[in-house]
Amino acid sequence: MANLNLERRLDGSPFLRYGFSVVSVAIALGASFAVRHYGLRYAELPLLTLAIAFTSWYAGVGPSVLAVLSSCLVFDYFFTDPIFSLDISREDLAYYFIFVAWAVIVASFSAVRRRIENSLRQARDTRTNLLNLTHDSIFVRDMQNIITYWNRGAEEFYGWTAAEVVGKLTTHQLLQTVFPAPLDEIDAELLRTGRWEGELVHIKADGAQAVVASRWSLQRDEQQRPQAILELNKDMTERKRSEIDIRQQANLLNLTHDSIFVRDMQNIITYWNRGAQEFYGWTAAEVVGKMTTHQLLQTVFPAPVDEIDAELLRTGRWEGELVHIKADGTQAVVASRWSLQRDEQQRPEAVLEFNNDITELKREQASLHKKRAAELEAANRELESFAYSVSHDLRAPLRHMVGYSELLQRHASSLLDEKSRRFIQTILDSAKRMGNLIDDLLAFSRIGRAETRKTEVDLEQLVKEVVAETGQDTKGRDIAWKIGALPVCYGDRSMLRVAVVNLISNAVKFTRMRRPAEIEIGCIDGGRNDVEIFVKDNGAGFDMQYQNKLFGVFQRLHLAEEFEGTGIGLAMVQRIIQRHGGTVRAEGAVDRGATFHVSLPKA
Amino acid sequence: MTRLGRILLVEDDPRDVELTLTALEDHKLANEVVVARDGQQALDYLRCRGEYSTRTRENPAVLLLDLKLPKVDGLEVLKEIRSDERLKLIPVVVLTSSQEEKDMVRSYTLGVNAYVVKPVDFHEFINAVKELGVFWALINEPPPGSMKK
Repeated sequence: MANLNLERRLDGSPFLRYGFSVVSVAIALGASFAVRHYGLRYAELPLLTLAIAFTSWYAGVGPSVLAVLSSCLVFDYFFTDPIFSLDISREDLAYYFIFVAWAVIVASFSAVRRRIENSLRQARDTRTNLLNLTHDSIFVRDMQNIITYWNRGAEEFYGWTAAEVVGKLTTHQLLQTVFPAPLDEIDAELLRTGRWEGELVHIKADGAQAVVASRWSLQRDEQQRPQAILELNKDMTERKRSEIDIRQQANLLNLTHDSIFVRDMQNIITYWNRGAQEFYGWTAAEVVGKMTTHQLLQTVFPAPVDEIDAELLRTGRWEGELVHIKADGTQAVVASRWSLQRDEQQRPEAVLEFNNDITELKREQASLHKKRAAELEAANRELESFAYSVSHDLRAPLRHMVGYSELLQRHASSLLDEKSRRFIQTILDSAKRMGNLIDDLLAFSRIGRAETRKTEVDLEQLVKEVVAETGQDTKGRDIAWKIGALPVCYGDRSMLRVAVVNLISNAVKFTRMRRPAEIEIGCIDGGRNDVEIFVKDNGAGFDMQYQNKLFGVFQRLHLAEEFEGTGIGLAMVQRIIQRHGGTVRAEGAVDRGATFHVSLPKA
Repeated sequence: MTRLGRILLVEDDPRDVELTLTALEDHKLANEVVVARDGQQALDYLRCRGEYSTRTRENPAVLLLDLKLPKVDGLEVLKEIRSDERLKLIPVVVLTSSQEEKDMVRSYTLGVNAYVVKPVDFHEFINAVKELGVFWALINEPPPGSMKK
């Protein structure tokens, strides 16, 4: 140990090394003189040789060369004739040669030893470094199980440093090892075969449990005596946990009655749970690894398979209804949910399919549909006969009221005073008004009852037609019409006509007091599938507060004296537009005109 | 042109009868008006049956036909008339309260010459009746074999 330290210190500094050689020669010289004094002869050469030996041992090649040279000089100067001079006589030359040769041999022994030691040390370091590269835990213990080596992997994994454990404890104590078999059996196997493998449970420094795959090797010395045990441990905790999880999950998956199966990216079945077995009628053994689900169940998809697969790859999931044929040949409808599983490199690995039987549900839905359709038919027919009654039976008495009132007026007006005449007139007017209401109500109900015949309708042409017709009623009025380009839309022409007539006649009516009346009809692109038409006027407008009442049946926002009308116009417009799948809205301000927006689906 | 054709008015409601007759009277068209109160009576008259068995067989110049009639309703009468060789040429004007599309369709399918909805407004009603009367009883030339006075 001390030798090692001295060597290391000298290695550090060349000055020290060369100084060492000089000093050792000097000491040898001094010792020679001292010995001579005590009467011992010829001690110089051995002493100098010793100095050279020491120097080459501790200080290396360079200093030993210096030591040899300086020894020769010293010997020549102090101990050979002529003394105190550096001359060398011919007889002594052989002597010097032998001396130098001998010194060189001694030095080279030393050098070889140094080299061997260095390479040993390097080998040891390399081995240590390699052992420290791995993340696996490697340790060595002697035959009493005391730890003699503890690599970096073990330090990191278990949480104790080498300094804390080497030479202090046995691994079994430290890690509180749980063995899969009795320890004596394990040791016996180790001694017999020289190795042992198995799973161990260790407790780490932080108290956490770890499962490791452990491999032991028995090292023997040259006499084949057991010397040490090399233990290599690989952390299996995660894999064990996921193995347990998978087993638990598999058991859970077998509890449910829903069908769950897994298929690989070629759609071959890799897992088939008990629910699938019971529902479809094939056992897992019959189907796993043998065919694709699509083949087996003759699946009918709601969309092309490539679209479905594309969505699955893109979003990682797909949901939809599938039709399957079971083992007994019967058809089943299932609500299917697919999940795509990816590995650590995000590559698609497997598809998990989860199926819910909805065959009964679908059947019920279908019959419910039929029932509801029948009910609707019946309701419609009732409405028809009701409307027919109204139109026929209510009108007749009304007509009589009007007719006889007029006859009364005719026959008795000379007999009646002003008031009576006014009363009769009121009766007449009310009856006529009732007639209008009935007509409007019938027209309104007709919109709901009639079949729509949808075609392409050129709105611009329709609007121009209607505007031309109103020309008759608006003779003498000053109306500035502004009709923008209007698109073609998809709908029932006659119904749309009614809507347009209502909107335009409203605009005409409510701008009666304006000179000029400005009525603009145009179009705004409603985006994607809709087209938005607007009818704008500069007429009486309305208070936005009451905008919800605008579209009510027989709802009015103005007095009858101000503007005539039953209040059914906008209700009809709304109904018609709604039947076309569109919407109506209005905006306006009192005395500042109104704009009605209608959105309709594009052609 | 001044010869007045006979009008057969088939109408069950007495008030409507009175109003219609009054309207016709206003325009001096009421002289040759026969009133049948239901479909059966109308057919009896046209075929000279029942209470009309003694009538000379001559068709009216026009039939003003209401649709809602007791016993045999208007459309039935129409069907009968149009399938009877001797009656099918008689001009028929449906005069009814109903504005229902399906009544119109059925009437025209069965071969009416005109379909008039009785207006609620009396003036309009009178006007309509007058126009009808003037046209069918005076202006129009009824098929040969019809009564004319």
